[in-house]
Amino acid sequence: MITLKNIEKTYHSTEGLLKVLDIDFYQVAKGDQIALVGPSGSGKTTLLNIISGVVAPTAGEVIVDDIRVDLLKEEEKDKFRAEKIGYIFQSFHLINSLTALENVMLPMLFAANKDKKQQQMVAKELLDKVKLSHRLNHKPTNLSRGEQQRVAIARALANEANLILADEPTGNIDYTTGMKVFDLLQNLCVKNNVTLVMVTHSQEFKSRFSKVVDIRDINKAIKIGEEATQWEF
Amino acid sequence: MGILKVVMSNLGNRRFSSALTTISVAIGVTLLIAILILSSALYQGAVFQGGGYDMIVGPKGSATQLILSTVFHYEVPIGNIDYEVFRKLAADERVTKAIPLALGDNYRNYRIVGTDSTYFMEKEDENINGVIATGRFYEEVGEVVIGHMVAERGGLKIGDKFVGAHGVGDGIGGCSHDHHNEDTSATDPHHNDTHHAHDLEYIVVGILEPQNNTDDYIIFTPVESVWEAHDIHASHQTYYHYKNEGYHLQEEHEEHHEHHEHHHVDKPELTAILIQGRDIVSLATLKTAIEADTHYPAQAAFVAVVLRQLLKVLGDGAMVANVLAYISIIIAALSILISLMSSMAERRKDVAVMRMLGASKNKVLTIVILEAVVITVIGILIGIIGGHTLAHWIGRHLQHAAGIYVNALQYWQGEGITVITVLMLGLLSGLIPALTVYRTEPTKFIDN
Ligand SMILES: Nc1ncnc2c1ncn2[C@@H]1O[C@H](COP(=O)(O)OP(=O)(O)O)[C@@H](O)[C@H]1O
Ligand SMILES: [Mg+2]
Repeated sequence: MITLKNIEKTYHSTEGLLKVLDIDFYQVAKGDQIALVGPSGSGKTTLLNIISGVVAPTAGEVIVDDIRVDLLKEEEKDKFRAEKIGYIFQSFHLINSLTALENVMLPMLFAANKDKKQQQMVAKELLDKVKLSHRLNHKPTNLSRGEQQRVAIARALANEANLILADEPTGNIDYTTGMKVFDLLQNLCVKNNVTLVMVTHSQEFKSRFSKVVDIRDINKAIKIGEEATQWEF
Repeated sequence: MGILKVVMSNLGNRRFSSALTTISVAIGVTLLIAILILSSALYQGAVFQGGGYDMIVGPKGSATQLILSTVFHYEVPIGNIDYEVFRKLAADERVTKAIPLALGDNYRNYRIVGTDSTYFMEKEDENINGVIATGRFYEEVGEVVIGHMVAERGGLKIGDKFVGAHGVGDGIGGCSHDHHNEDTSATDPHHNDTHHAHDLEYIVVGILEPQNNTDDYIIFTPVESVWEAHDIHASHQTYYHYKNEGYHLQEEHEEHHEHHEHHHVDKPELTAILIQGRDIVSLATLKTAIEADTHYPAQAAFVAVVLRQLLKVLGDGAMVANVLAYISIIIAALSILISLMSSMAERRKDVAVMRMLGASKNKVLTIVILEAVVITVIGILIGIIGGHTLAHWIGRHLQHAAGIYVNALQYWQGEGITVITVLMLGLLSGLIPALTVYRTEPTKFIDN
């Protein structure tokens, strides 16, 4: 599903060059569920963004679903993201002016592969799956955090993405609710054979994954023990 | 869901500022459209009204005032000229048509104008009753034919009798004799009898077809009625009769002078003469001749020349108004810009999220531009309705005050350009904020 070859990412900062990522080779199989762990600043988010094509690697190859993401043109990357990737953020990032239903329809608008009726039907189904059928026309500000993240999960699944990238999706939700949201996400991914890469800090969640990857094990740019000084936030 | 839905919900989320910016666009467009309609209508009206005549002969003084007071029945007349001037001109071979005008009194501020049937006729053999909607044309002194608005608003109908009030009235923008300039009072026959109520009783014998010009607000009567009202008892027959008979106009005068304490002119006079000439050369020599005559002093003004000057003034006025209206539109565009820019901080995050979800740069660009365009288009639509309504409303007052007919409920040339210009400005005001989000790097505005 995902293959990373000789990935390097270097940022230019005022203090000079900052190498954030240096990965020789890493692969994720289709349908896998991976917990990506590592301290703050160890490049987890950057890695997800490189996989989705939002951030271009300084060097190396990114292959997702047999597509060389790093070689795609800007518009092709947009299309690729809309069709193949579902994103879930720590702070949900729903569009506040749109209702829950419309938020779920949004990626379908960008993928432009369904008519309005179909969009609405699919969005309703998805919101039903995340148990929000009774909240279709609510604006995000009128939803609880747990509900907002469930809308975000439905949105991530909108275009039948086969890869979901979740960046600390429960980080802003209380433990019990977070657990429920996580269960939902994991089950939906299993049911739909969707590959899931989820960044998490929580020990609880790690234990629920069959594969846990500490980014420091694959990222040569950072060594265990160094992060506290070098990557302090 | 379409892109417009996203746009509309964004606008809906900022209801107050969206409404304000829409209103500011609507006000600007209202002004632009109203000014366009009114200036075009005034221009057309002026050209249309002054169209028929080449030259106006009247007392010496301001040519503009002469034309305004005779052609447009606007402003007070300068004074009078001797009837002899008309006699000479009517007989002059350089003149193809000479129409006498004698401005008399007013009835409820509707001017009473003495003239003959040639005033209404394009061709000599035309049937005068073609211009009459009901009744017939006047034949006797004291008979009047009224403009259709006089009938409608002044409440006069056929058979009604009335007595004129002194002065030309201000219904058509003129002012009463009380406000007369000192320099015109010398030639003003009514100077000393401001409060004199005249005895001549007018009778309505006909109502004119709508002319869509100042004539709709005028009461027409034979020239002799005007004289009669001012105690120049020339004749109780109309001009048509005596014109061929070498009529003696002054014979009854002496007697009347003794009966009144007021000073009256002792000979028939006219306010102006409308002239159509044989050709431009004839008119030019005629003008020189008229103005050289010291015995019967008069001026001859070319309608086209004065009209051009008037229209230039009108055009300048419209231009100033237009500039102001465009300034208001630019302010409206700026307010769209400011409103969009001020919402950009929060919008940046939305845009970044949308980009992460796969929205192309062009889509987010379109969304922001469309927000400006939607506001502009709604503003324009309101403005078009508002502009026509405003012009219609002002037009009705104008029609009453100046007799210029404004048809505000039609498309006027130039509206299309105005709308496109405003649309472009709206587009521009959306483009600047749109470009700032266009360049937004999605990851920079997403905190994880
Ligand atoms: N756009 C950027 N420009 C410069 N430095 C960046 C940028 N994005 C991330 N970084 C740096 O890269 C490092 C890795 O960040 P990130 O991928 O967000 O780590 P994590 O998600 O593991 O906390 C951090 O030191 C961060 O400051
Ligand atoms: Mg992170």
